[in-house]
Amino acid sequence: MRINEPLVLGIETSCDETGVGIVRGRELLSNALASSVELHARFGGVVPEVASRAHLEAMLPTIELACSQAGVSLSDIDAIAVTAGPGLVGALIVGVASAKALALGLGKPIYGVNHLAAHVMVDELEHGPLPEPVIGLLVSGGHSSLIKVVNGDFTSLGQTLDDAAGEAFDKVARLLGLPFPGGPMIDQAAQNGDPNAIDFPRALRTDPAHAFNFSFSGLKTAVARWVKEQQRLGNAISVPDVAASVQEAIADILTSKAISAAVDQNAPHLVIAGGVAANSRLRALAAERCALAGIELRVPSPALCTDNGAMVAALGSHLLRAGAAPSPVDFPATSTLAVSEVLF
Amino acid sequence: MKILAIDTSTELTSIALVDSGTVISMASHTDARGHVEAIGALFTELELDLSSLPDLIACGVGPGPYTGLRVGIAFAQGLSAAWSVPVVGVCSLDAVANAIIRQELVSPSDEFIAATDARRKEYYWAKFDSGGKRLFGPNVGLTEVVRELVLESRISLVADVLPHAIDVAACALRGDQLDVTPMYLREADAQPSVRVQL
Ligand SMILES: [Zn+2]
Repeated sequence: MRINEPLVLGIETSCDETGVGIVRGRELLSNALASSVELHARFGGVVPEVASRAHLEAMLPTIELACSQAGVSLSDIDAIAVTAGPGLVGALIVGVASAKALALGLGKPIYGVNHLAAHVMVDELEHGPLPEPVIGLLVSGGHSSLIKVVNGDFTSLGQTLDDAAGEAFDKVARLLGLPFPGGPMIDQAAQNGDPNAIDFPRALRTDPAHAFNFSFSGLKTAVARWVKEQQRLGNAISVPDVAASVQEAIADILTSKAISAAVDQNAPHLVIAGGVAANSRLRALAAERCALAGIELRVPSPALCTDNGAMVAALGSHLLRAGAAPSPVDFPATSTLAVSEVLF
Repeated sequence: MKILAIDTSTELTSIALVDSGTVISMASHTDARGHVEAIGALFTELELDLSSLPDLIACGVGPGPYTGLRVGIAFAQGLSAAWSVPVVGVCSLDAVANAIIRQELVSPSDEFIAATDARRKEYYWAKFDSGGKRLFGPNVGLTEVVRELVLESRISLVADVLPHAIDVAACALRGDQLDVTPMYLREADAQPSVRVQL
């Protein structure tokens, strides 16, 4: 099957967002979303069973919303794409089962795809064909990785050894008494703070064995230690200064590693995606440093950066146009999946 | 009345096309963890003619282990959306009771308790009259406690029969229909996850 402008419906349920998006070729038609983030707030993290229940409840209404926003009916759809991994397996299963039913019921092909690759490929919907080779920096509550895309092949250059960048934001926010999810809260608090007030550590900055890996668990410890020390000394703690300094450390390490990856791999393009790509300081610093290094920076708009169905549809559409064979009907949902495995 | 029925509330994943009580085709697979892999393959085994759709989709809504249960419900809802065919739920223990009577595992005049494995040394269970009408339940409770209850009240317990899609279809046909909402019977675990790392 090879259509130039296929109408593809994509389903995403890997974490706490139920996303259904519809694209025609590279054109975004709709991107419906139901989030269970508020249900998780009181636990300070995503509870898998809570997320799975919410996905099942939200699935049909979200499919209907995506169709009505796109002005299409399910019978018009040429192919179904769905996140098969990585993610919370109980959550993924809801999307995969729904997607299989749609595909089999409609008699259309199904593409069980990689969530991480979809994060990068979504950029096509806003900025046109993905230039190659390109470096993808994926940063969210669930992942922090550097990916290279060349000739349609995705390779992992590095990833976090412990916490994800978004997780570091969440943990620091909790230390500072800010609510979950912490990223937007830190960003907001940092607006009035001094990014150079405190020199928090940049882990793995110079270790050649970990040139493209990250480590964020030490950052939380450093912030906790600093807060404790200030309390011992009887000093008032400026939440904006801590937030700005932590944000600076995270943005600094992410952008410097992403740019050295681009230089090292001769890839003059960088895509930043994932929920943390919405962070204002990360965007500003990346723009500044990419301009200096002569690298083209592409950052999808926030609604396409966080987990969503359109990114899955975008990758499905890309694979279909490239002539990839659809997935077999018995493909699984899997919690771990290397980015090199783009399609089941 | 052509019914496409599904049940994934136990380790048995089953699917069947039943026309007014006559089984046209059915397929099943036993694997406690492989529901989402099996369901698509089993559906294709039915060799359904997409130009002559069923009138109704019926799905076992548990009680049963949640992850598997949700596969069947999500799949049934997806088919319903794809075909614009209504979908109803059936208590999976009602389907078990139907299977028990169908297989003549209890004497024809007796009330009985049907139970399935709820893990954590517990049963999902319900009490039925001799015709398979649910009198009490569904509940979740310790297997020991259910066994004691059975001894005291001297009614028989059948805990080794699994719900099959053909029984789900039978229950739906006779009107034992529910909303398509999973019967969880337990609160969602309040344990934050270890985030996915890659
Ligand atoms: Zn993601």
